[in-house]
Parts: sequence; structure tokens; C-alpha cells
Amino acid sequence: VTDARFEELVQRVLDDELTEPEVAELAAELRARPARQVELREHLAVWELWSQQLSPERSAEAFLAACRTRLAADRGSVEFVNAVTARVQRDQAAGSWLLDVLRRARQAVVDRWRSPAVVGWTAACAAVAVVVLWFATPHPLQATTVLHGEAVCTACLLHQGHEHTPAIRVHGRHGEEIFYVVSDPVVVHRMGNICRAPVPLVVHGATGVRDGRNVITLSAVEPDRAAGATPPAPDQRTLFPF
Amino acid sequence: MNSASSAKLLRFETIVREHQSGLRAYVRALGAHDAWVDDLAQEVFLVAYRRFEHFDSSADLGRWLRGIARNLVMNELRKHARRSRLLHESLAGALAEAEDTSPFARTTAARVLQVMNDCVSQLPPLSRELLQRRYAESLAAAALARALNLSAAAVRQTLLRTRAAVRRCIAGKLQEALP
Repeated sequence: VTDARFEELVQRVLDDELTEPEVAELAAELRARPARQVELREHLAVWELWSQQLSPERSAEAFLAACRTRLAADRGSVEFVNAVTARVQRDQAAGSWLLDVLRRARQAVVDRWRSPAVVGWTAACAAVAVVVLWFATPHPLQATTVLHGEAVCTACLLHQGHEHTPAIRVHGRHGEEIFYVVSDPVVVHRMGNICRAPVPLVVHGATGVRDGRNVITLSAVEPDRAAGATPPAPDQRTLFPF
Repeated sequence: MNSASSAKLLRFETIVREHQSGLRAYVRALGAHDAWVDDLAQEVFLVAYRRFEHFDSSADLGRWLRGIARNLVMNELRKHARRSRLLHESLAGALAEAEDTSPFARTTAARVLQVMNDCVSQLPPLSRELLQRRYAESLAAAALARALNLSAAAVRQTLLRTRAAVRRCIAGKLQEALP
């Protein structure tokens, strides 16, 4: 590879225009001549510094803010897992207590009135009671979380990659927590323009942890009126490429 | 948050401020795709935060951070699904393999940028404008050509010459300054 050709290939790397055959050509050249590796590395490094200097969204403060957010999310995920585990255990304990009461009641009825008709009626009543209790009490399978926070764009405001996806930022007792939204775009659409500024919201949904990050599947989104938010006008709404 | 955690967080933020620019340049030089440089660099700092206790305070912190970055990139190369954060596998592999001992690697990011600004200031106006708009507005060659009423080939050629001249200028000045 001549010097001119190598320079041309480097430019195509810098402009992200390299084709597959060019990749193979350049990789072979880098393996054959280590000095070329140094040259390519220098090019990549200096133009990265130049990009940082010219792009306000890549400033030191923006980068630090993104690090803070990711650190908070990192720490929050551990606390979140502990809180969810405690809640599931509490719900399970409540469920087993109810079953125990019903079992004792059934035994008492069978012991006192051995008539099949009475036992049948009692069983029917117990079944109705179980159904009512199922829907009336919190249950792990139905757990819906309500979060008061603000919707933010992971690219524009959190500076995490270049993909514009929504997240809910919550300021809790343990500091800032981030819930990455995995939802129907129609629901997300109701959040408004989260690239412009954080949007105060109350969101309802099922939370979980995926790949070490808090996630929320939204079922409802409403403006946080306590935080002075108003519903977004139709022309302010933004669709995101999920 | 207790005072030990607060102190650790404060130290972490100071380290991020001091090293972020050079580390991002290093991550890019290891073969990270430009759109994923910040993401990978943030991961480096998070790993460093978790492992602060293992860092020997008498050692070179920048070198320790660069070591973490290199390990992250090597891990990335091993994980097929996550290679999209890097340039093509064979290029990133070649770049991440060897330790860089050039004058760039021994100079702070602030100093490189200072020298770079000096070199860019000596360029002809059109070359300066191309560099500004290419990076400040993230314009590709075709878009730059339309904006400046030039052909795409002319823009590519001017960018090629300009970048090569700036890199040579920086390398020369840094080499001169080294003992």
C-alpha cells in the first residue's frame, strides 16, 4: 500500500466510509507495518479531541453529568433489586397467611358440620372470597409501580450513546435513579418532546431489571401536575424510532 | 450517603474531569466507533469507580485508566453481539493489540489540543472552515460539498490533505518538545 493510498484509507476510516474490501486492505497493511498502526491511532485520537472541542454536547461537563447519571443508575439498581425482592417476599407472606386462614376455616366447618350441603356452600363462599381478595390486595403478578419523575432522552439529556430512547429519571431518597423505558411507542408518544428538556410526569407501569439496568414497561403516562406540568400540545409530541 | 462515599464520589468526579478528554481520545484510538466513544469511556470510569480500592495511589492513574479501556475493548472484541461499538473487528483488533509509545501517548490531551489549535491556525481559510464544519456540524463530505458549493471529491481531497498536514504538524511539534 502506497503512502497516498494509506492516507486515503485513513480518511475513509475517519469519515466512516470504509467498505469491506478496504477494511481487509487496511487491516493487512496494519498487520504488516506497525508504524501504520501508530499513524492511524494518532489520527483517530487527534480528530476525536478536535470533535470534543467543537461539539458543545461533548463538553467535559456534559460527559461528567452522564457519568454521574450512570453511576447513580449503577448504585440504584442494587437498591432497586433489594427493594423489589423485599416487596415480593412481603406479598408472598401475605398470600400464605390468607391461605392459612382459609384452610383453618374449612377444617373448622368440616369438623363442626359434617353435612355435604353445608360444606359445599362454604366452599363456594370461600372461592368467591379468594377471587375478591385476589383482586383487592396487591399481588406480585399484578404489581404496578407509580413513579413521579421526569422523562428524559438517553441521547440528548443523558448523553448515553446516540440512540434517542426515553427514560424516567426519579429523584428518590437514595439519590437519582434511571428507569429505561421499554414500551409501546403509542404510550411513549404521550411523554412529549423529551429531547428539548426533561418532562415532569407521573408514570404507571411494571418495573424490572434487564442487563443490570432498571427498566419500566409503561401502562399509563400523565403530566405531573404537582410539578407544574401541563399535557404536551399535539405539535410538541415526538415519535421515537424504537 | 456517608462521608466516605461522598469523598469517594468527589474524588471520582475530579478524576473524570482531569482524564475524560485524553481517555476519550485513547478509546477512539483503540478502534471505538465515533458514536460510541463516550459510552465506552463512561464505562471505563464506572469500572474505575468500582475498583478504586485496588488502585495503588503511587501508580500512574492515567495508565491505569488506559489499561481498563484496553481490557474493555478486548472484551468487546470477544463479545460478538457488542462489536457494533467498535470499528471493524480486524481493525480494532490491530489497534488494541499494541501498546502505543508515540509522542502522542506521552503527552496530555490539553497539550495535544493546544498544539493542534496552533497547527490549525496556520491553515488556509478554506481548510480551517472545512475542519470546523466537518466536526462542529457533523457534516459528511457530500453535505459539506453542497454547503460550500464544491464537488464532493474536492472536499474529500482537501480534508485528506488538511488532516495529514495537521497530524504531521502536531507530531513534529510534540517530538521537538520531548526531552
